[in-house]
Amino acid sequence: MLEVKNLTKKFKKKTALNNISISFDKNVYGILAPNGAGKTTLLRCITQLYPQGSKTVYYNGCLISKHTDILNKIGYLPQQFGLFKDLTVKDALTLLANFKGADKSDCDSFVRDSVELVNLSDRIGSKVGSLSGGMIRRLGIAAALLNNPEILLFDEPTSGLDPEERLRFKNVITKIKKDKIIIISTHIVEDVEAVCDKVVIMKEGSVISTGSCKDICNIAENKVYLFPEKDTHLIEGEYHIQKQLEIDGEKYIKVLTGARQAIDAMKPTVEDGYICAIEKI
Amino acid sequence: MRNRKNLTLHVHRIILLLKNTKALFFVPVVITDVFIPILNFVSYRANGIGDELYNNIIQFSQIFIPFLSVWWVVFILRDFIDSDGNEMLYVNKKRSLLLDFIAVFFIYIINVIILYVFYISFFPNMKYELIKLLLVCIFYFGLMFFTSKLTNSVTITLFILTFYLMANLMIYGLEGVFPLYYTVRAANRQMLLCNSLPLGFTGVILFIIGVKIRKKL
Repeated sequence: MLEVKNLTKKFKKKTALNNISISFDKNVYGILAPNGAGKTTLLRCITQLYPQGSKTVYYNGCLISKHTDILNKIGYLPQQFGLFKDLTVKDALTLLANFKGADKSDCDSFVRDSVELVNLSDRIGSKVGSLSGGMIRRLGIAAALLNNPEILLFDEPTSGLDPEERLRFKNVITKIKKDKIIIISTHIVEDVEAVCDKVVIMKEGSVISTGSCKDICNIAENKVYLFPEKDTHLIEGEYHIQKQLEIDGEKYIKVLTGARQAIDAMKPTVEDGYICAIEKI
Repeated sequence: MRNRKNLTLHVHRIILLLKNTKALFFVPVVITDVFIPILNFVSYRANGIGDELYNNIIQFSQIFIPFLSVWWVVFILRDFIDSDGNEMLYVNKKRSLLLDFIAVFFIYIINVIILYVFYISFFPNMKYELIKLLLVCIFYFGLMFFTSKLTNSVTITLFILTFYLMANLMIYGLEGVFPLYYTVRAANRQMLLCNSLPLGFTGVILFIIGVKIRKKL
């Protein structure tokens, strides 16, 4: 189990993480939060990139900073990835596997397995600098998967990817998730819904809600309504427009509101629950 | 067994890190092992073995060798400092990275020593020049490491190293004015004690401060 206890991180006057305590077991976690809420900072503290993580992050009861070999069990994909552009895919991954302590014979099998998982086997001899943006992202995922880590941390893994690449990423997570702690930080609710077992919602450096996707949906229970666009004047109380829809040629708006309405509420989605949690609806 | 595995990992890693410098890898090799010896040979052909050749060797060595001693490390550091996603590299094996950088530095130093063994066979006093050069190289290494950690920029680091080299070429004396090292006079014990040794020591201090600066790496 990965535990974060009483973690606070400040950047000058701004508090990025405010006394966070959270634990992660062998599941796929989605950290959902708006930009600037502290997702990346949390992941960087877990990987000990920030010193504040040194006294607050434990794995199976051991302080990671005192048992640094645990770091070799962590696979981390940063928000942007573009390392070793003058090496081939194979050499770049071999080098990264070497950093994780894999010897030369293990490196070959780790590299082969990880490129297969992300479907880059045919580009193994290509220079990293010659890959497309999506392929470089996949290479980053392969790099995180090297050495068969027990903990995987993905920071905005699907941002900037096309739908096909996003689907591929979700398939990779489904394939590898057994017996691993996987934490995916994102603001794309769809991805969380598709692959995560549990969701952590953060706002302004604090965890404001945790639970399964169903639990997050429940936050918006009886708060989601679908009104024809022409009938918006019938909505009672304050409301947030979630999205516009067109059904059988008629335009509707989906609203989130805490006030009871005259019509029946809709079944909420994770996105509805997330917005309700963030906006305190 | 464990030490052997670690050594293999280091060697493998160093080879790949040097491979990543592409054509830049050959710059120190070409200048140190081809360009400088050719210039020395031209002087030898013109003047034979004597003061002219001695001065030719020490001047070109002072200009190129200290700067080139950190060349590979600077360009290896590019990925650690300037590349997108470099934080991935700091999650694992932090300490051994320093050993990699030191090892790469020493590969070049060994190259210089081999070259100077040849020179010393003609000029026994050249051993002082070699010691002086090695101490100056240590200063460059310390300065490079400290600057790159402090500024987190390879470009600024290269600029500062170039500026320091230029300052040496413009302000020089007979004995070397600390913290500058470039001299037109042959090195002697006095110069080593008063100028080169403090420079080498300063380089070590800068390196230690660089290690202590808790900024990545």
